[in-house]
Amino acid sequence: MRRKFNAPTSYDVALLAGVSQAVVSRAFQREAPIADTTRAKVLAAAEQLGYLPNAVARSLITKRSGLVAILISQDTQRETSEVLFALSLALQEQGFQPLLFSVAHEADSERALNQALAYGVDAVISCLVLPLSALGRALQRPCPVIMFNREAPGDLASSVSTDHAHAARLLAARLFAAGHRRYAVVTGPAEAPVSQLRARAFIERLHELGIPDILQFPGDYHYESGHAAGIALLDVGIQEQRPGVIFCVNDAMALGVLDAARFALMLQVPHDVSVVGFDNIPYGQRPAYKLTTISQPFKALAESAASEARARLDHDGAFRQIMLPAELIERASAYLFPRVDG
Amino acid sequence: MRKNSQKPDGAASAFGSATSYDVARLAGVSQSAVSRCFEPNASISDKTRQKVLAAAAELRYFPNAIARSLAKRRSNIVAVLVTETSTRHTPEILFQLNVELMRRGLHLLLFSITQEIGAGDVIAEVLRFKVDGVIACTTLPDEQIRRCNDRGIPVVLYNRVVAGGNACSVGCDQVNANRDIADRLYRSGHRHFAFISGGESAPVSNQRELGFVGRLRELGVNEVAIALGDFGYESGHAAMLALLQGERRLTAVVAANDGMALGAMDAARYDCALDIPRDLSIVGFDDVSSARRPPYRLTTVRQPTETLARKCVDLLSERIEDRALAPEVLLLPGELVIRESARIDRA
Repeated sequence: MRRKFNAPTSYDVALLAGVSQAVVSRAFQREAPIADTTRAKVLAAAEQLGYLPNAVARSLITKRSGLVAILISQDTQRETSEVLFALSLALQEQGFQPLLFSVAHEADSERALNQALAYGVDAVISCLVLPLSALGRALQRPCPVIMFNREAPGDLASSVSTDHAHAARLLAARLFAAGHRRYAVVTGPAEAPVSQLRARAFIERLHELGIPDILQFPGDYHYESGHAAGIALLDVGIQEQRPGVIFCVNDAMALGVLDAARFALMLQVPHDVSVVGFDNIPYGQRPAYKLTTISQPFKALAESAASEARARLDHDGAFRQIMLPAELIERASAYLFPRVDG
Repeated sequence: MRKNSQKPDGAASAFGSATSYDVARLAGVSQSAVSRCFEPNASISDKTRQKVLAAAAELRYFPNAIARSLAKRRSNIVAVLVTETSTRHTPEILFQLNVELMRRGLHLLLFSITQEIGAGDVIAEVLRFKVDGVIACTTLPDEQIRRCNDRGIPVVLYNRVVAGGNACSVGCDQVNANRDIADRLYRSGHRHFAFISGGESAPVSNQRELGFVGRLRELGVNEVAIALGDFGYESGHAAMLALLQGERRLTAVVAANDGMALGAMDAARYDCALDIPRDLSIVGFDDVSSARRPPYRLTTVRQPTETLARKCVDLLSERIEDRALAPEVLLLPGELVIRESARIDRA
């Protein structure tokens, strides 16, 4: 087939470098036996002809690709779009280029990791749970893995995370002190560990405070499931059976609960029910919602994940587990001050 | 090709340096079966795959996609250039592009650009890597496109007009969508209009403004107040306040995107106690998720993001296969979604 663009071939490179085509091909294989001076000559010719982009050429010498994989779920990408944006900027600032692997389900993480490793990425930032075996495989490369808002099993990776549990416990205590006694929690997908962490810590703290029964409604992180939860929990006829507090493990669902309460059931928030979310997404800040929530420090998390990737490459050392504090953002959707309940 | 690197029986000579040859020998299959095993969508029986994977695990063999890409002259990596605006306000675009790329075994190398105008030398950054193609959700000067073309790298622009005709482009027909909105608002009796722009150098916003203001002029409305925003919610909020101070008779406001339209709605309602749509009609563009929700019920234009992404990747992969194909321009109609934020002719 005739090409409009005469892309240079290995033949052209061989000609310019004054070597055989077989030598050119060896020069491009990291492990192939070839003299350093010969390889340098071939790479220079390849670059001159535009046969080989310089990041790839350099990667053959430094054994670094400059690529860092981001493993992320479609839910995270959709519901907290801040994460991907902050990570990509932070990586670029550290001189990396992010290679994106997004999966439909958390459970597909291992396949995404394998693909990333096949691309010779310098490091992996995983916003997905990874099994121990997968982390082991990355370690053998060696390719450092930084877990983002996920635990590092067996300490085989670094992790950078919001202190979800601490924030959820604090929230429970603040609500309890305000006099609330009937609670409901809207949980996230079973496979999402962050959701479980938040729900469990919140419920545990309430148990400690002497609240034995807490309603739970299984959501899926999306607005619609929050709306359904709002209807199911609040449309009960008898006011005494209605929860005084609905804690949603993310903001998208909390907005759904708010809309169900106000627009479908004509309830007053927070007079009839207090609603609290988690994440501090932009929509929750608006006057139409004024959602009380817990703020994740996404920018700081992303910067710390990117610099951890750089640190792991530049010098060995133990993996680090970095935990950043979350912040309770008080707006108008919940009573957090002492009051008499019902 | 690898005859120089044969090693003694079954031995991975150094840490992590087993070759496909070693794996093939241990698994008792051909070298090409080993490489097929690690290729997306390649035909290989489950049994063979199991054998190869077991041998690969034992020898700690990792297929090197970069090395393979050099042999095939393909990396299966596509550079995607996005602005802060699209990442923040329409994450759906990046999400859909990624889905479409993955379906074809392609991977997305992300280049985030913090300012629309800052796309300047991003192509130099892109060309440091071996990419098969470029999708730009940002404006690219013609000379940058030509630099890619010179290297045989096809470029597809997403929602951007092409100046030099050297790249494909796939976009929503913003001009006609907003001409239609101008018509309908005019027909329902509005005579005093304003447009909230996403910025003077934002091409998407300029097209939407062109359609809206251009059609109004044809209808005899020569004065349309223009307020400058930056696509963000806060800028729409501020623009609305500024507009309401200047023009008391204003009845219809069109914003260049939903984010600003929502900000404008909140400013009108919460800061100026106006009733929407009785006192003021507001129309957006994009149909983001919160536009659908009960507090807003925004009338807006839905972009066919799934189709746009699919066509974008279609055009790109055709040109990765055959670089001689001429550039194509595809314009898909947007869909007007009439909700409750505007008094507008529904016919």
